[in-house]
Amino acid sequence: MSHKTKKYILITILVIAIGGASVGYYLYNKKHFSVEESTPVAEITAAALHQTFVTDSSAAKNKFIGDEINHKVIKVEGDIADVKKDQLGNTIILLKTATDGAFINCTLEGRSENIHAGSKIAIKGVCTGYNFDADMGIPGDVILTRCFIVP
Amino acid sequence: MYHKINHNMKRIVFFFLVAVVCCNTSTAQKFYTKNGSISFFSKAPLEDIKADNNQVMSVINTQTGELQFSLLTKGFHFKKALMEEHFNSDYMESDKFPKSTFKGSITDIKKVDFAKDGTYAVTVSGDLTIHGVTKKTTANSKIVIKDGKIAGSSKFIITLSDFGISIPKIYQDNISKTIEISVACNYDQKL
Repeated sequence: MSHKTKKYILITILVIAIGGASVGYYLYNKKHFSVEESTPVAEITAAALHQTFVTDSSAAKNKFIGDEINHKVIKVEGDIADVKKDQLGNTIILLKTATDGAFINCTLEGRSENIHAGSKIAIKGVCTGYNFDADMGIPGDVILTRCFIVP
Repeated sequence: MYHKINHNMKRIVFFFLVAVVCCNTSTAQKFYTKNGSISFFSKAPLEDIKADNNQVMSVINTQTGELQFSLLTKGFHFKKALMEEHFNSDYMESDKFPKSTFKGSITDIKKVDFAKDGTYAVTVSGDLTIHGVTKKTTANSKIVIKDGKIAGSSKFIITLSDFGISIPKIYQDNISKTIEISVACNYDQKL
């Protein structure tokens, strides 16, 4: 092999290596997709969202919950039952459903403006599911995370 | 006749009192939260990994010590998107096993005086179900009563292989075989 060929092979290997490392670095540090910029796959009332999970959880999962390849964001409208903070200081908004004690449980990623119980609100977020356990004797909540208030 | 009425009245009052007492003792003192916090931490040679879930549902029965937890696996949030994806699709198989639960009790509940502010060290024991596998688990925990409010916390270690979670050889230096789990719940709701 001539000196020139060796040189070209070395450069090619280097380019591939750097390329591979760059892709790896990019993937490793990839940020979560933007909820704020995403178009909701569904717009639904809090009561209807809860009802769907109660009556047909498979259909609800298929419709409202995405996966790693296909991210899904939903928009929920309802009356605020309560506003509180969790252990990390995140704001939680509970939306009323038709069932007492069952809420759409929304953890905010975006700003929480002047919001208080009783007012109507629209929230965009990622639905992670319906946390219900018959043994526990309490109504379950439909959980939304990474939420943004829709102005 | 007065004598008979009096006697019946006494009976009625007696049974009423018994009923009231029975109702009070059978009304379990259950407190719960739907935004409890569970996080886990993996320390490995190449990196540390941490994830949080702040939509944990937990119920505590202050009389019997019964304690339950339920959370959605997809609710664990990682800083790095790729890690969260691998966690759900490869390790926890969250579509197959959407929930992780704990059903057990505070075995020494009598140690705790829920009416008196203070910190109480207790033992929690029960069935921990992760990735569809159930294992009997015991953990040292703390109950803190402050201004009449109940807060529970615990830290314990689990071994991933106990729950059928296998880490591929290439990631052995990125993910530890044993994971530290931290639990913190404020039982602000009363049943």
